Amino acid sequence: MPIISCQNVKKTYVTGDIVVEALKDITLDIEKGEMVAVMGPSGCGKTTLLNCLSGIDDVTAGKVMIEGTELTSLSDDQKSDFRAKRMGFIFQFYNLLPVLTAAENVELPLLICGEDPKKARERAMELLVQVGLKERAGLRPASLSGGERQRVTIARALANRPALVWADEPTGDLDKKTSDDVVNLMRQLNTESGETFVIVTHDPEVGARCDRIIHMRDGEVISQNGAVHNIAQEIKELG
Amino acid sequence: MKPSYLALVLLFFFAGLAALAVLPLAYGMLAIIGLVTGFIIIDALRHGILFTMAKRNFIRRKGTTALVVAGLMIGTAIVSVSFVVGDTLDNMISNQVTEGAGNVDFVVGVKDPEGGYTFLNSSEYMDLSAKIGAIDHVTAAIPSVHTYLGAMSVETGLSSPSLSITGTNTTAWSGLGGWTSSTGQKVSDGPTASGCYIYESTAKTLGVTEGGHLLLALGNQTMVLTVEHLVKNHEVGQGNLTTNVFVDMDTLDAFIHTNGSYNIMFIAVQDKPGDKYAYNAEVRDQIVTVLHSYGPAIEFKTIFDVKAQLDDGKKNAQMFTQLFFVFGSFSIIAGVALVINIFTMLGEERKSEMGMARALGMKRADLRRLFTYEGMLYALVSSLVGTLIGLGMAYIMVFAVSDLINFGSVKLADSFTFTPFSLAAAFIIGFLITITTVYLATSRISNLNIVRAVKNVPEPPVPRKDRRAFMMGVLMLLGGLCLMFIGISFESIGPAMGGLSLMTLSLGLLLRKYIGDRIAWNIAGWLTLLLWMPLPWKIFDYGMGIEMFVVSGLFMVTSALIIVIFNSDSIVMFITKVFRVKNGYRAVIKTSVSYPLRAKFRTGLSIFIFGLVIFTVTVLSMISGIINVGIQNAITDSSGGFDLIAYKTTGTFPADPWDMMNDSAAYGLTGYVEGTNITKMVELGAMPVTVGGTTLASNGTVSHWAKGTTIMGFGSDFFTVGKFPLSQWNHTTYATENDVYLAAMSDPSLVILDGSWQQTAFMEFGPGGGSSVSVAVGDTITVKSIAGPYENVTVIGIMKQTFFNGVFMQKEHAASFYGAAGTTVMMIDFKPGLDVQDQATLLEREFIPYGVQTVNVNAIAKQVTKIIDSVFTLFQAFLSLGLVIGITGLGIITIRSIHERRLEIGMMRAIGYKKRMVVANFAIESAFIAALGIILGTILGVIVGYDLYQTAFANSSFDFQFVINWVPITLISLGAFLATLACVYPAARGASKVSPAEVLRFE
Repeated sequence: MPIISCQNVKKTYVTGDIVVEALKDITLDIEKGEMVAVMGPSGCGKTTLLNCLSGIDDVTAGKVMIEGTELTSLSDDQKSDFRAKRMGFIFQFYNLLPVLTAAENVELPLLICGEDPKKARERAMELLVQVGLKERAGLRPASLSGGERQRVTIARALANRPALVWADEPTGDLDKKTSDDVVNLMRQLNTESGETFVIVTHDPEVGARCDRIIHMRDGEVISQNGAVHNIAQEIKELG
Repeated sequence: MKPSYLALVLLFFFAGLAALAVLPLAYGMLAIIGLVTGFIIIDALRHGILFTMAKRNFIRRKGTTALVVAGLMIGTAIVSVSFVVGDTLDNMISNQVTEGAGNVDFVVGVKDPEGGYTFLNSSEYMDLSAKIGAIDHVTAAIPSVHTYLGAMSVETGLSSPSLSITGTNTTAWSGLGGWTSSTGQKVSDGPTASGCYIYESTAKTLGVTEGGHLLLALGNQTMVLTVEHLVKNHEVGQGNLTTNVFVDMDTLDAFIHTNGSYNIMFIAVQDKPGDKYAYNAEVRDQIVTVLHSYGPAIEFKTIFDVKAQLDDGKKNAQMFTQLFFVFGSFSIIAGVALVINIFTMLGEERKSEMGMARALGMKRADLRRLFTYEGMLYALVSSLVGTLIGLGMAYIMVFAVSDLINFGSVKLADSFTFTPFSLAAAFIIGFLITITTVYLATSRISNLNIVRAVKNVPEPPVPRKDRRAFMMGVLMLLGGLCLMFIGISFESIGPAMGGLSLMTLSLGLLLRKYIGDRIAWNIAGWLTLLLWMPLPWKIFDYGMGIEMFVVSGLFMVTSALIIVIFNSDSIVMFITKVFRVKNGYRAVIKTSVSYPLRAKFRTGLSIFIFGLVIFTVTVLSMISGIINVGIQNAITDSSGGFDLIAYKTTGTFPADPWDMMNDSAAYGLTGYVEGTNITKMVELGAMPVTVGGTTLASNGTVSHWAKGTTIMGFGSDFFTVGKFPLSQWNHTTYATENDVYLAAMSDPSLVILDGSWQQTAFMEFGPGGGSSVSVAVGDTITVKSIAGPYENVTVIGIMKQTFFNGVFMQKEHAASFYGAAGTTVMMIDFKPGLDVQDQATLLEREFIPYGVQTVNVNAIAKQVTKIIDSVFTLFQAFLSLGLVIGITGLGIITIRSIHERRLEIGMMRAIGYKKRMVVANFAIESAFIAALGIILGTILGVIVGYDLYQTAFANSSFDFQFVINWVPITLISLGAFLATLACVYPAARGASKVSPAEVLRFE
């Protein structure tokens, strides 16, 4: 059974008289342990798809199943719980809480789930070791570099041993070297722990490191098994 | 600066100087504000785009603008309330004195030792009248007769044991302008031989109306007069001379047998148009010269001086107004903190656009201009609204005070008034506070880094080696040093302690370079706090006034706040460890406590506002609690356990009063009081005496003192039936209090004094407060009887009670040596179940011929406690305005925090925060700030309250006890806390509705 399954998902934004169809009847499956990239030109609906699949945004129509649970039928609180326990998030601008240290940021999802603080801290430290930031655990985000912040974000995403991790432009704010490091880390975690990664990205090199690529354009999935060069070609064609 | 601009500046500057020179101060200042505003407007017109931006910013978010104006106007409202209450008190006093005195400007007479006025032959008074009448501007000098008589309304039966009666007639009083009836009509003719005029308030007390009848009594002699007019005139003398009833001079002469002699003289002085009392000072000096010309043979004294009374009254009104200012200043300071917070946040909110403007070429001065224009709009609107709201609040407060506190016969509410001058002054002060604070706050904002501002990146922490911070520390140290030396030179505690505190606080800025922020500021905070703690030694041994309350509060709250802010990590750790919550709320607690403690400046200011106000409320509550308990104890100590204290004011009882009540018919009494209703009665003889002694100062100077008091003769029942505890006696010589009383009973050279002899001044406060005991146990004092003989006696005990002032000695010696024979004071206990007040009224009525007056001890205790509670409640209510500032401030902070942290809220929601967790997060943040302020304020308030107790109350003769009046403190704190939650809840709820998808996508 696929870990993510969505059928005929639609998402429409209405602003005054203007109706924008951000997602048009999308149906797709993602298998457990896959590392999938969602690519496409700006405004094609990649982030909207990620938001709808992860439950942080509501769909206008259609059905989203995660690990057999129909996300679209859950209440807001149930969705929050589900996200806290079964999902991890990585954002382009890290979105760490500036007032908390790296370790505190990582343990936050565990505390949300009611984990014992001691165990939460142990787990946070374990993850920080895994992402190579053991020595930086006591520092606040302002004292970390971009790459380090993104590693903390990855550690935070993995804190609850989630079934799947959503990443929205995880390398968008990083230089090439750091970007490579971050993608390598995600790949390594995916391989070693078997977590499913869904990565929204513009970067063909990130796509190239994934198992497969979902191509999107104008709110539609145009290919679910695309290769990197196709995207590059598409971008070229679009000018 | 361009020449045209310079000319404009000079023009406005000289116009301001001219306004100050020509106009009264407040109007001059108002004119200057007008000029400053005009100048800013002209400047704004020259920078049209900036002014347009300022205007649009002002109305950008109407809700926020309203909130900001509400916060800013409170300071002005407080100033306005203080001024208007002052105007009203002034007006009340002027009305009371001038209306009551009529045309009387001075009263002179010779005081007798028993508190009355000595009768002299008419020739002596006529001579005095001729001499005073010859003084320029004196229009009348009328000798009259004044006495005290018992009185009863024939119609209602209501009585008064001692009314002040003035004998006069048409001829005499016409020179004084006649009377004013209660309806405001002029009454020129004096009372007829069988009539009287009665002061309207006295008439009300006795239930007498025009045409009714008043019975006057002197011993067994009575006369009934018809009430011909109720009049407003009464205040023709201080204290005892306040007239209740005017009677025809010949009628009074015949009744009290003065044989044509006089004992007082009324003097009227010409009024000057526009200044009624312009000639009074000059006339006063000449009257004094005339009075002195009689030498020691006739000791004429000025008994009443209308101008002096008016000035004294106004001075008292000013003191009351000053109290409002002192307590209000906490709220004003809180308001200033709010203004800083608001504008700092407005600056942060617009940081990005300001950075953009700077990038496009806008200068720092332009940014300052932008905020100054906007600040001016805020200052104008908020000062205007604040002044008017203050006027309304003053009206409400005056009405509240009017019902709570008794100002004699006059109701404060009837005198409500305000002067345009006061409103102008309130507006000016409010405007200046707001605009100055705005300008200083915006200077900080305008120093932004363009790149960081454009990217909206937070400012980095000030580096340890920052030269500016160090130089600020040096300046602060030097400023504090100067201030301290000024304080030492003038022996003034405010500048001395303030300067020293500035010096210790400067250590934070100076030492951070070497030891880091946390340790440096901890040193600065703890040292400063220590300076204001109750210490076993005095840093500066100078006296201090009520204003020190503000200074100490300011420094204590500031230093405690520094300690809290720079130990925030420990606080977060402590709180997260203590509050072991479940279901993910541990994460909520962690984030909601961490955020405020990281935003040190804004959180600090908010805690400061709460802390300062709660500090004041706590101290006030403690003072009120300590005084109330002290008064209750004092009343218990003074009453000796009796229900009623009664004393005669005239005549001599022919027998023991209790025997007289038991056999009323035999003594010609009506029998109002059943002797059998009395279960206990102790009697004392009393007679006025003069007591003198010497005091040895610490520098070796010997000073002599003398004061008038009363000799009180007591028997053994005084301490066996009654209970009058001693506060001091020699425990080596006398084992118990009873031994002291027994010693005084057996040896007439040993005396016991009442507690007032060791009275400590009340309003002194903090280090350096307190005064020395005038007389101590073991001292020898000289007591002189009114007949002349004197003797030296030794003080062997000092009582706790201060109600009966005097020297207590053996009854027999008091009678034989000082003439304190018979009964003057009666202490009475009634059968249980009887209404003491009813019995008191009956007792007064029974003994009208002896002018018996009663004191219902418990009723007085209740009344005094009620008044004290009312006054303190009123001040606390006034202070609570400061809490409105705090709550408003927190509301603004919450709205701003939500706006700033939308992205973080979105992330939190994404990783699993439920909506109610977001609500809880923001509610706990505000609650945490409010709670920190409340806890800080309460702890510091209790410390200062304890210090106050130690310095001003503990050594007093009153039996004060240290109590913490938790009820008002808890109620106000809880109210503020809940109001804070209620205020931030809507915003927090709004935050919970933030769509994570939207903010993560677009922000």
